[in-house]
Amino acid sequence: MDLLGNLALGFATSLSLHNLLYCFMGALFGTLIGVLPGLGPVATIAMLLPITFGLEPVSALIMLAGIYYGAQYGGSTTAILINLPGESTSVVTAIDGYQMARQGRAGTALATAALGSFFAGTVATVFIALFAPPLAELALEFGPPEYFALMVLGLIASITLASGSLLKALAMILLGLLLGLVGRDIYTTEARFTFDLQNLSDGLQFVALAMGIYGIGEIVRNLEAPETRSVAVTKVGGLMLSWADIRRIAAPVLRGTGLGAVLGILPGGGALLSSFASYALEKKLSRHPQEFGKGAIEGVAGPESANNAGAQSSFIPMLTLGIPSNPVMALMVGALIIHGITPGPAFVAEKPELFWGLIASMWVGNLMLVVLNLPLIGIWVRLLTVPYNYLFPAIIVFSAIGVYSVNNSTADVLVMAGMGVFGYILYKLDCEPAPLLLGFILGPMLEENLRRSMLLFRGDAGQFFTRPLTATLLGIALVSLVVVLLPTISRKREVVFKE
Amino acid sequence: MNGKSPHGKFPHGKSPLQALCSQDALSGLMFMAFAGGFAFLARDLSLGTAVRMGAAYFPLLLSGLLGLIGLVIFVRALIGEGGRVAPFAWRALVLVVAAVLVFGFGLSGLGLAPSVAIAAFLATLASGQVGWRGALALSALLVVFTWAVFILGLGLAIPTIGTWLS
Repeated sequence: MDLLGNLALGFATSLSLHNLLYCFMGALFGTLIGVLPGLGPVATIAMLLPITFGLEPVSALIMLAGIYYGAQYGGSTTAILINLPGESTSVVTAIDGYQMARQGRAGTALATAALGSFFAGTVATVFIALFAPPLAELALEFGPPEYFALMVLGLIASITLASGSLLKALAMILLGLLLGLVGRDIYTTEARFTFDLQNLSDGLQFVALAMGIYGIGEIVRNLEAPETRSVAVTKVGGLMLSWADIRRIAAPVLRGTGLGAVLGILPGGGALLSSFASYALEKKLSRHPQEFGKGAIEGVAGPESANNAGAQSSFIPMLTLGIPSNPVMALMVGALIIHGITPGPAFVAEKPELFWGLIASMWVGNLMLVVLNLPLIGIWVRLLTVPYNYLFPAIIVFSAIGVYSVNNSTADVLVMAGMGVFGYILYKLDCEPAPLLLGFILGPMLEENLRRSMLLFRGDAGQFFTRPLTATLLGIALVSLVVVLLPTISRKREVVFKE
Repeated sequence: MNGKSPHGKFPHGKSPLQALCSQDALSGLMFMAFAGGFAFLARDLSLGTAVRMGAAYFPLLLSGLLGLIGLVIFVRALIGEGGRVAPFAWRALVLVVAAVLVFGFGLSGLGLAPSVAIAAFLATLASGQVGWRGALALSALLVVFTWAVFILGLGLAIPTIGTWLS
């Protein structure tokens, strides 16, 4: 009954007229930016973050959630219509979705994606409502050592589940942690790595870092090849699903939702892993696997549900432990901190209207996507025809103004420029930037918890391995690191990610 | 693996320079440089003890680890295959970054409209596929649009025309 009461509180918050409006605007803007080619959810959220600053925290959070879902949905739209996944999570959708579009069934694919996502979103909302509060209560018992161990495990797990070179990912985490330490040390008040610049004494601005790497760096990368994009689809076709379609997608949607909800909780999991896993599963279970890759509707329904469920359940570790499991969640933490909220176990108990309002608005945001964005698909298609050559200067200008407006600081704009160059170099050197972003967010928290633990242990680091919980957590981290570093496994891992 | 491949010092028939310029070798060097830089900057900070860690303790720990991993990446790249670095898109990089820098340095002095105009003009030229007329038109459009949205609409406290020009 408690759950219902809490959900009622949440819906009362999120269904108030102005919050509904913010949710709608978030979903709309999120889709608007997310549908632009080459802009994934991270860049979209970072770019739109500044418009939420003027709002009170609840509304801002609700709007951000709307932006997030909109951006995800926008990514799927470009994947289906022009075979250009905005982000890695919709890579899988592009495989069969684009084939469906070429067969004139773009509308069906889009509707499948939207409805599958909506269903997954609904289930995942309930999932969060059920599991987040008990987890938060459990986490309230955690001391600094447990937190330290959890964060280490989270960081390690996030790279073992990702693709690419593990050693480089590990180095990127460390570099991110170091960059996160820039600024005044809260314990000794010494200025660290600031080059005596006043602007750096509060640390590097997170939005500037994210926008530089994911926005500016990405744009330069897109400009490497001259524009040859052709929008194959001009007609979307009917949005209605036939009964036969619904019967075909029912089981994949259910399986995808379950898979996504569970995998999303894992650090580094979230939407990406879920969608890949779901695609592999559907292909295996299908009675006609030869259709996959040639426009199988199951290949859209499963992964799209899974990635939405995963995207949503990855809120669980972020909200209850304050530990982001992927770059989008890292951005969310950054946004919350800007609004003066530190996510963590106390969040649920101290700010119930915020917590439950956010959960309810997740569902509302998903609903928005179905009832508003599906009919608006014509506009999104029109947007896709705007040439990138005219689009990216606007993106650059808006990003620059956005980053400036966070703190009214032109120094942040310069940081963004520097990070843009850095992001492009990272791309050239084949270094995945996501671990850096996670490390950046966790750097200060990791240090603080380490310091407090060592104080508690009187300087004996060995005690990390004598407390049962921390020993287990760190043990898992160590074992997973060693296992993935073993040559035979790392070769197998490559095969899995290539599939 | 011990460097005694038939091609001499470096397997895969690479010249030493090629091996040094691979993606992984350069990444390794980059990580080592960052590690060294952070460690160097931490030299004047208080170290503290394991019980009461000073400002330099954790950064030095991280730098040490980063330097070590960087070294492993570097050595592995020299022994094995490091991946080739594709050429840089210099025009795009320079113009895009210049646009952002002009905006950053110019905003408070030039004001919103001129900064946006210059930044948009430079950025548009970055693709090399739009001429200066197109760039002018686009920057004019963006000046009007950003003025309407950010100054008229959101009431951002930036002068439209800055003090350097009035």
